[in-house]
Amino acid sequence: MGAKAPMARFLILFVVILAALFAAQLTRPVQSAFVLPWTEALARISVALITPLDSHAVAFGKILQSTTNGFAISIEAGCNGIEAALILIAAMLAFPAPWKHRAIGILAGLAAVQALNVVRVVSLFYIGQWDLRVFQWAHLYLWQALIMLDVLIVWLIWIRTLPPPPSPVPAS
Amino acid sequence: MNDHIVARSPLAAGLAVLLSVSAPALAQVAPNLGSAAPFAVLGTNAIPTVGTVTCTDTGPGIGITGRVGSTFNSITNTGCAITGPIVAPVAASVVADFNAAFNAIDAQNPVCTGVIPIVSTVLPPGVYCSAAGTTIPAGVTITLTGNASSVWIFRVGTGGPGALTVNSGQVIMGGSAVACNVYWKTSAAMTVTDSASFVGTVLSGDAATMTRTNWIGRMMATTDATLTDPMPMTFAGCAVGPGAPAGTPTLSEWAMILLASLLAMAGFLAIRKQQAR
Repeated sequence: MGAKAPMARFLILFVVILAALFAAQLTRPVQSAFVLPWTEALARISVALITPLDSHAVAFGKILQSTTNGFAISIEAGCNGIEAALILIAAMLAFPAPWKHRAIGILAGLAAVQALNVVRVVSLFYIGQWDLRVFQWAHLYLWQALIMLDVLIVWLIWIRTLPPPPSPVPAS
Repeated sequence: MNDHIVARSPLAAGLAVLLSVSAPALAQVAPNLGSAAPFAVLGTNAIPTVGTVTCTDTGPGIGITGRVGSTFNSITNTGCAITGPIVAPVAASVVADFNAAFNAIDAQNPVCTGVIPIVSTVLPPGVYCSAAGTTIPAGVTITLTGNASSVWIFRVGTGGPGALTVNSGQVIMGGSAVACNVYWKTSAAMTVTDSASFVGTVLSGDAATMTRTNWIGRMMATTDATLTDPMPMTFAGCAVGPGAPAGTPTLSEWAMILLASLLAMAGFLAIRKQQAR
């Protein structure tokens, strides 16, 4: 029973933290203070990356649009990589690890997820202009799998870099 | 070594997810409007006249939001508030792209999945056709329900000249579907009158006429486009994909559940391995 306690603790904490983070991010204050500004920032970041190569892309609000053909993508809540990042954060907070490693893991995880999400947004912007069927496939299937793998890989690397837990003190 | 086992199992599961998903065959294909795509209103009369694009506001109209284009060197505007650039005349490439899209839409969507309804209906995405003209009468509401990626193609007049007439009927979006993914191709004229809601991009084989209608989409005509008291006519970009309100997110609900499960499983195994040391 004792040997299973840390595992049960991890699972319970993971579910509780995950639920709390998801509930928090759905509240109006968090949406207006963080989620929506970040979503709009994603559109601006995407355009900033695109502009040196393609001056026909503009961002207004959370919309990224081609001035050449009018094609646009709107980055909505749920499309901003925040949910994937929250799952990773919840797992890292629930896992028994030093706080320093947790902080490093969360920062690295956020960077990995959001960087890949920017690549996703930019790629979908051009795939959509090229072929809507490919866009739908990439959007619905390919990129979901890639984002999942991204999070999974970060998680596994993080677990492997953790120091071994302290040995239990032998009873005197 | 166990580290690698721990690491590989969830990764293999993730790869299995990647490999196991397959794209469904999508029956309907949105036309590529090319350089014509940014226009909310487009009149492409081959012999352009002062009436190629006409907008008249007799008082109750709200206006047009979006780009307006005409093959004539001006549009006729009597009191309409137009928020957006007026391009007159449009470049030949715009007309060519519009004509290409108009001509290609039938071949791109050869299989009709249903008949265009003329009674109140909730329609899933698909290709809907009528051999002759179609009239959506007063009191009828057609609800297009789907997600942000859902596409509807309506082909009016597949067996010969067929006009689309909407007379006080409504076409509205349901779910998270977006008007931008709705296309109407008519082999004859298109007329919508007194509609509280009409959605989609119309590619009319003849004139397109709207009166006192709230229209989200694009009005494109192979001849003249005429608007009277638009309530309003709005097209502010084709927002699809990673986006569209409540559209398909970075991770779907099931993908999030799967991801959380994979992380939990990997964490569980890692803790067990620590304890085994």
